[in-house]
Amino acid sequence: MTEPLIYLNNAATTWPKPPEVLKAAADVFSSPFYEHGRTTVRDAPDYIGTTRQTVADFFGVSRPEHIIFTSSATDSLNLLIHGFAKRYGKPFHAITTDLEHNSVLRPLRTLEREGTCSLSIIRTTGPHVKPEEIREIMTDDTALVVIGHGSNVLGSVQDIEAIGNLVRSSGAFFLVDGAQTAGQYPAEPGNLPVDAFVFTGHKSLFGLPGTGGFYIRSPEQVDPVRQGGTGVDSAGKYQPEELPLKFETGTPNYPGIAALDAGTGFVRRKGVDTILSESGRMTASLVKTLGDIEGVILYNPSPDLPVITFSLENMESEDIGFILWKAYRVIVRTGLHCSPLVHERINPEGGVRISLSCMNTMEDCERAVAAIEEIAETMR
Amino acid sequence: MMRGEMMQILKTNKFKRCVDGTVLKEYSVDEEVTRELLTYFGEFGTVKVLDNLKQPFFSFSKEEYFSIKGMVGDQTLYVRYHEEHMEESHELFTSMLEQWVPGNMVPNQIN
Repeated sequence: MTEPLIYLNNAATTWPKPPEVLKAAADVFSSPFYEHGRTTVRDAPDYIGTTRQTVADFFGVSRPEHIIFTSSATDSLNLLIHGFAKRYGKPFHAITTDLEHNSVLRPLRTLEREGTCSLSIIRTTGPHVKPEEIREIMTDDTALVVIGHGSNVLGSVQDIEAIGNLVRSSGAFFLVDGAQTAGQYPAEPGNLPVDAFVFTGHKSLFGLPGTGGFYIRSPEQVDPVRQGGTGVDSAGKYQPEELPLKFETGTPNYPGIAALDAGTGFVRRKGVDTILSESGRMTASLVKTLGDIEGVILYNPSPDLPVITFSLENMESEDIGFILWKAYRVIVRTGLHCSPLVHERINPEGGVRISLSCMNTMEDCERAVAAIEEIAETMR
Repeated sequence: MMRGEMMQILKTNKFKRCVDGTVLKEYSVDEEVTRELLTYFGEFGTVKVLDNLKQPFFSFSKEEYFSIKGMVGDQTLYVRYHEEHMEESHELFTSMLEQWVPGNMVPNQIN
């Protein structure tokens, strides 16, 4: 009999999805697509409006129109970074850190290459970014600061309240990438000093790939970089200025957005604090047991999120991941995890990442550790 | 596969270009990887086998040309080519498979 697989790659995409998420997506396909403005049906379910309200409530946002749906966190970051630069209209200084994902680094470096901005990347020495490190490199020209709330490699969570107070008091735009935290770490961006907060649907909010979005407090500071159909105001020559139409164009991903509503509802019912506490227990157990294995090199022994990155002496990370999958049916991720700069510091060859969700169990962790121990033993 | 017939590639499943200048391809073959096959591979490069796992893992390396990895008992070979020697490496790899004759450990002439 084939052993059940153990999925420990939730920082990439969570799996399995709660049954209500799958049902919500399937239900959308069972009837024609409805949306006010794009159909003659008037008494149809309003997937988009309902989900916008759910997500706004979840994020402590009082005005749901400030929640914008996109196709991913990467899409959101591109819209916000390029849209900010377009609106700003002149060269500026931007700050980010070496903990960031390529979805932050690449748009910023693209602006830098075009001469639109000069870019300072804080080289961290530990898992956290200190507000003083940002203060030290801020200049009169600093107009944009982009920080990841949670690291997808080190599992560290940044103090966005302290950083946000510093950045916003200087007048710079503070953009937070919440792809790794939304749904598994308590944060209400509506009540935090952020100008925009990006989320993805398919990770800890348990939606489907192809969904994401952002909360924007200060929409006047960002121009839309996409224009097109909005379902309303069709006679208007230009993209409407009001939210959410300013940033949302084209036919929405109805099944994905309905699934995001169900996923966010699942997280709310379970409770983010409970999720964090349960995953924290499993993470602590993994850190302890992995740390006890001879030959294991742990890169983040005290993560804030259920993310653990490690390698084995005398073995390539890619081979560890390969063996874990082929011989033990344990799914992890190996390599640079789209975050190349932090690996320059911890391990330029890349590591093996274990990432949990609240759907994992302690037994999953024990089986994974037993497999890693067996692999480590063969290398001695 | 009938004894004495060459090993055949049934399907090339994936193709991935890596930033380090290598190209990764995944091949399904018509025969399981055996210890005997790995000994034969050893005639062309370095073979390492990790036993004591739930399923033994092997790697083969022909430096600067290509490497293979997989599991003993599987019918999938994961081959990483160095891009600058892609054509000749692929030729060597397929020749190795084609000239593999179970029970006959002496490879035919492959240059």
